[in-house]
Amino acid sequence: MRVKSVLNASAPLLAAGGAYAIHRYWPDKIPLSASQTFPGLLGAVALVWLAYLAASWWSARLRQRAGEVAPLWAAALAGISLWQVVTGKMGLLPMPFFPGPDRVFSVFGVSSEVSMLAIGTLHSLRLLATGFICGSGAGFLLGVWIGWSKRANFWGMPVLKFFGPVPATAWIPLALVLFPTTFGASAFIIGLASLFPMIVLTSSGIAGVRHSHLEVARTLGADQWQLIRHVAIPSALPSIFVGLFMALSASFLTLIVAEMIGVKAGLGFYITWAQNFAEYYKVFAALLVMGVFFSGLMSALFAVRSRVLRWQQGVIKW
Amino acid sequence: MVDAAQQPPAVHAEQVRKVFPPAEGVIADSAAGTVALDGINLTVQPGEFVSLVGPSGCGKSTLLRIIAGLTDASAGRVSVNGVTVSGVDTNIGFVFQDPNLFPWLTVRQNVAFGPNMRGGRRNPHAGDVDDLIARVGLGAFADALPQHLSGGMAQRAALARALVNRPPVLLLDEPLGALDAFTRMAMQDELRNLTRRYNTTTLLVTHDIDEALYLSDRVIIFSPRPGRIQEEMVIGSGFTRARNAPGFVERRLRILETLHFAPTEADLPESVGNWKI
Repeated sequence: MRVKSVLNASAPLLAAGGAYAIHRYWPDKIPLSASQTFPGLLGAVALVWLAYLAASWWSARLRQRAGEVAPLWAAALAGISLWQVVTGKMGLLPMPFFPGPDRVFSVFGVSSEVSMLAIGTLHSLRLLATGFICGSGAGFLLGVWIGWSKRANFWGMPVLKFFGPVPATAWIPLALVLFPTTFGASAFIIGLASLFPMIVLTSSGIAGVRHSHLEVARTLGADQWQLIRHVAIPSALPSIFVGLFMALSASFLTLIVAEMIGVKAGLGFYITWAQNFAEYYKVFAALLVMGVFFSGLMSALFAVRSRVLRWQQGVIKW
Repeated sequence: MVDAAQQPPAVHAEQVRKVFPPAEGVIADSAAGTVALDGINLTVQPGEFVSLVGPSGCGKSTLLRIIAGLTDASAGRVSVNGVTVSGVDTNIGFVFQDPNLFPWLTVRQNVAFGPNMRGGRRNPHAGDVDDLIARVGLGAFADALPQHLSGGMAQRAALARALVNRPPVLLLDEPLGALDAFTRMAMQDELRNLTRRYNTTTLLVTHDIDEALYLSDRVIIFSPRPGRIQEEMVIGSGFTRARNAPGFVERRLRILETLHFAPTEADLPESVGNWKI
């Protein structure tokens, strides 16, 4: 038992060491990148893990958590190593489309590339935030209205059913005419992409409020606005959060399409730009940054959700 | 009717009739719909505790909802404290069979909901919230979420929430129906103490004849649908509210007889023996 847990805890170290050995000693089919970023990264991962283990000496909670994530860390390192074997070491995949990790991570060792990626991320974030906040905000308000008012539901629903399934990107030609700047047009398209899921899920949440909750609130003296604000919206929040998640992923998709087509900045633009020079290792590097960026935003939304919906924990799980 | 010098009755219903129109998927008695209530006349004096008993579907809950202004009567007139009911009014507290606590609010926030909707801190009853929570025995659970309460605790919180506005009239629609026998008996005592303390006029719909006899000044027995008032039983102040007292058992039998649920000849001797007449 004890031997097993020690082995488990040191698995990431072994994996990092193995990956380094493969990188350093396995003969290459395709010349290694001169950059030392990849071996440096392996060393850094090993050091971080050692620090984690050191910290868990004092905390039982950290120790348990370390035991849980150790196989995942080791697997990730093994995966990266396998990627290197398949590409650089054995040359099984065509170049330059599938560069090895040594080449991809070399991008993060060049300060001009790092600053381009960082600026691109900020551009993407600005565009995404503008579109997503406006779109989901408008979707929330319209959803509350359609969910609450029978008349708004009667007139609004057919419009929603007709235009809702049309992909937001189909509106690009129109958006380019309507807006003087590509930023405005792209923000509009991203807003449109988040609008539809937000309206649908907010309105269904509002319409699904328990009638008896509304009756109780009325007998306690709530007026129409208070019923919406203090009963309908709180009880629709679980559904509203599903809408936010769908709106966020729809706006990621639209963001990248917009940046690949018209916007001259951002991560999507960086990808097309690198592709034009056949620098596929930069494409992969940008994909990695995108993964961190998008999953970071998703995790942030998850964190907000579990804070706001604390009352729901144990009632519904997803 | 009512003397000018006298206080108006707390609740007054005159020839109330309720017909539910035929709806899709609902079995109606006739093409015109289902008559739930017919010719209901009821007067409840301030401070009185009145129970409505009767077979399921006899419209007693509908009558309660009409008095609360949650449902409109098809005909007739209802007034509360002399004012004709035309919609929901905070002079009337309502407790449903399901506690219906808002799951996103703690017990304290649930109880404070009424005062918060009506002026927040400036509401004269805002300070009563903690007092009422303590009075229904939930002091230690004021910050708990409804999902962590038992059925009886949730219903006590619902009662505190209805009472915090100090409504002169309290309507209870089978509030203890879903509770186990022991919790129910404990809550009956609490209910009586609270309504006495605040001198609240109370109308209770219940299926439990013992509960009605135990709590009420007057029991009103409904006929099966269409609901009409079949009999009124005044329980005097000298009445011994013990579930095994002779007067108690006798009245229970009379109510059962009225409802056609009285024990048959064959059952009687043994049952009466058990009831210690």
